[in-house]
Amino acid sequence: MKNGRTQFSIDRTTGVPPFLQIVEQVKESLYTGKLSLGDYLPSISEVVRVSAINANTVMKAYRELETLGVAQALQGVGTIIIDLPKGANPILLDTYYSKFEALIIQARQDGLEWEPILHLASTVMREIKAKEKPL
Amino acid sequence: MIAISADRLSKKYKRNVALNLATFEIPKGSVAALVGKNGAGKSTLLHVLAGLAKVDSGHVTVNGSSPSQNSTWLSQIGFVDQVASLPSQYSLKKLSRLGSDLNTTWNDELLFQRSEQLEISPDRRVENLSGGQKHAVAVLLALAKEPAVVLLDEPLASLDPISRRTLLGIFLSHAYENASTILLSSHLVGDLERACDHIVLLSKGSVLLSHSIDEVVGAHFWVTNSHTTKALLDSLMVSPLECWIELDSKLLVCTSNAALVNQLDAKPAGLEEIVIARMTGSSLYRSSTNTTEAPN
Repeated sequence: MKNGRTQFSIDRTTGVPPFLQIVEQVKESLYTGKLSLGDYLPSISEVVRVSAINANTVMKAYRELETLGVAQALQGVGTIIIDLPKGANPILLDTYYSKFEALIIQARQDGLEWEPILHLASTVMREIKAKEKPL
Repeated sequence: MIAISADRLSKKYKRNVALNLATFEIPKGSVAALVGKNGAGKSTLLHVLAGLAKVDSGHVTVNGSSPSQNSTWLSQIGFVDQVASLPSQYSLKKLSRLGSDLNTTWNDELLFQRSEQLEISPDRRVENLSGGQKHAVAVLLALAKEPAVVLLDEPLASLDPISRRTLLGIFLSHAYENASTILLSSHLVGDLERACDHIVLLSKGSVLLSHSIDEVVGAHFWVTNSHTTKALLDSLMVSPLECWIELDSKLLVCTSNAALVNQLDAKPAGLEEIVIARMTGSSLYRSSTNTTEAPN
C-alpha cells in the first residue's frame, strides 16, 4: 500500500463493527500483496480527512492490529506493518491459491454456476469450523 | 469529560411541546448525530444549546457552563442554523477578513484550504453560490474560529454526495485535530453512521436513545417473528434483555446477552434500520428485570 492511496470504507449494513472492517481490509491488503511488511498504514488524520471515518474507529482498528501482532505504532512516525496475520503464511497462501484456482476452474468446466460454487465453499467451511470448535 | 449535558429540558411554544424532559450527555471529542423526524425538536434543542433559546425548565451545560451571551463562552461555540444567513454581496475572502477582525482566534489558512477542497472560490460572492455551497461557507466560517463545541443544524442537506463526504471529512478532522466536540442534526443516517461515534435520537421532544453508535449497533439484532420466538423472549427472565420491537414481519431485539443472541439465531441490524424501528416500530415491549406471571 503506497502512501496516500489507501482508503478504507465502512459498510454499516453488514453488521460487522466498523473497526473490524478496517482490520479486515488491512488483512486483505496483506493477503493480496497490496500491503507488505515494513509499509506504513495511513495516518489517522489522513484517514479521517480522506475517508470521513471517525478517528476513534481508526484508532481502535490500529490498536486491534497491534494486539494481533500485525502492526506496531511508532511514536511520532506512524503505524508500521511488522508481521502477517496468524495462519496466513505467504508461501501457503501462494500454494493454496493455485489449488483453489484449479479446483474452481474444474468445477466451472464441469458446468457448475458461480453461485452454487460459492454456496458449496461456505457450507464446507462452516461445517469444518463447527467440528473444529470445542463445545 | 462531558462536553454537552442536558438534564430534563422542557420547552413549549404556546401549546406545542418542543422539548419534553430531554436528557442526554455527549462526551468531549465526540462527533455526535442528532436524529429525529421533522418536528421532533432538533432545531429547538440546538438553539437551546447555542444560547439562542431558553428552556422552561431543566438544566443545560455546554463546554463547562450554561449557554449565555458571554463573549468568552461564545468564542468557544460554533453554531450554524438550518438557514444560514450571510451578507450576499460578500465573498469568502471578505467574510474571512471580517471574521478575523471579530474573533480572537481565526485560522484563515485552514479556511481557504477547506474551501478549495470543496471547490468554492474565495473570490465568489455569496449570492453567486449554490444553496449547498452557501451553507458550506457558513460552516467553514464557524470552524475557522476553532471552537471547542460545534453545533450544526442540517449541515449536509442540499449538498451533492461528493461534497457531503468532503465536508464530513472536514468536520472529523476538526474534531480530531482540536479535540473538539461536534453535534450535528441530519436525516442522512447513512452518511452519519460512518462518521459519528454517538447518536442522540429525539422523538416528540424526548430523547429515545443517547449512546455510542458502536454499542447501539452491537446490541440490536433481527430475529424471525414467530410465536416460538416470542414465547422464548417471554420466558426469558433475564435483565440484559431490554426490549423488542415488532416491525413488519420481523422482530428487532435489543440485548447485550450473547447467549440469548446465539439461541435466537439473530442477525445483526444496521443503524438506519435501528433508527427507523425505534421511531416507527408498531409495538414495543419492555420486559422488566423480574418478569413474573401477572396475577389473574
